[in-house]
Amino acid sequence: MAGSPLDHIADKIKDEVGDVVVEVNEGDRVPFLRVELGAVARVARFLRDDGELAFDFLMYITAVDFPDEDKLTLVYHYFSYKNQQLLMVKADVPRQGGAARSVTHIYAAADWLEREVYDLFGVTFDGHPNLERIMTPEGFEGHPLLKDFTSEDYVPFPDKMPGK
Amino acid sequence: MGVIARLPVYWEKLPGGGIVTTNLEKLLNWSRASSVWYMIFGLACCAIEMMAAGASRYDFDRFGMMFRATPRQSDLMFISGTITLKMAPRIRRLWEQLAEPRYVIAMGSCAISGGGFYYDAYSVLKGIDKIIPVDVYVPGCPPRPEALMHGCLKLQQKIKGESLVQAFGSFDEEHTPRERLDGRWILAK
Repeated sequence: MAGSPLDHIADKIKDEVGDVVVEVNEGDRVPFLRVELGAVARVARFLRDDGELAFDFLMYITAVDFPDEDKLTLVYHYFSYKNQQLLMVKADVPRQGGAARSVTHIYAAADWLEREVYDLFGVTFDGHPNLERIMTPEGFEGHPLLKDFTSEDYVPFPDKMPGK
Repeated sequence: MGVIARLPVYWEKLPGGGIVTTNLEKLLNWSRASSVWYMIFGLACCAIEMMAAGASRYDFDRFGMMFRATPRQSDLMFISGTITLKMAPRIRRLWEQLAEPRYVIAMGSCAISGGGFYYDAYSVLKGIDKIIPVDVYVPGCPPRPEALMHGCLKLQQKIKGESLVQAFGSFDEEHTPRERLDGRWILAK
């Protein structure tokens, strides 16, 4: 068993779920694990059900757009009340037509969070019971948090602003 | 005597009493302007100032302004905050449910023009007057309760100056800005 808590979690995932951890990063401000896209749901189930880790709370799901690398990164925040521990898990999806396995059957809280990621980033979640837009109005087109999003309702400020 | 002196009437004193003459229009307008009931309806941070104006320190009640929890009993609607495109058709519907004659006060930069912060957002309507007619604009970000109160007094002035035909006459569908709203955001009738 390696030293840090993150290494410990990565080792347990490797033992129980399989060799799915792509990256263990402790250098960033928030340490994270990067896992394979296909293993997102299996890792979530293991994190919740494991008696020692007990990540019983899915805090947040979001995504980050990397148009230069032609990928989106899904970000899952798990919290363990038992250990008072935060864990960030990332997984890369393709930018066009990206799809991940839904975790709604593991964490009910994921329902609206996955709808939000679908609405704003266009990632679909297989197995989600009701994958519809949640934030934008009916009939909205496009996914506004993608960096190449444009809209006729997007009106830039006039050029002649004070200080410009 | 104190009350009668403030009414829009002429009072001829006679021994043992007096004769009061007035104009029906003025009396009705005076009573309408003195009992503007507004709808409990907050959209964003401006709603906090609206609540402050309604609470005891600033106290809208002294103008006869009481809040009602339904548009069907209200005369006035404060557009108090940012109008998102998702909310816009709901606001239009609430406005249609207000009993006529109905009045609208656009409160703050967002309700007037889309606002300083959200003007370039994909999700924000650039001013409430794109979908419903507005009687009084109160600028500010957000306006202080005093400013809102000033807007309400202006509205009372407007009501007092109306003719009954203007207030209760036939509703002029053509001059409402319905057609200015692109049909996309209107709920299906």
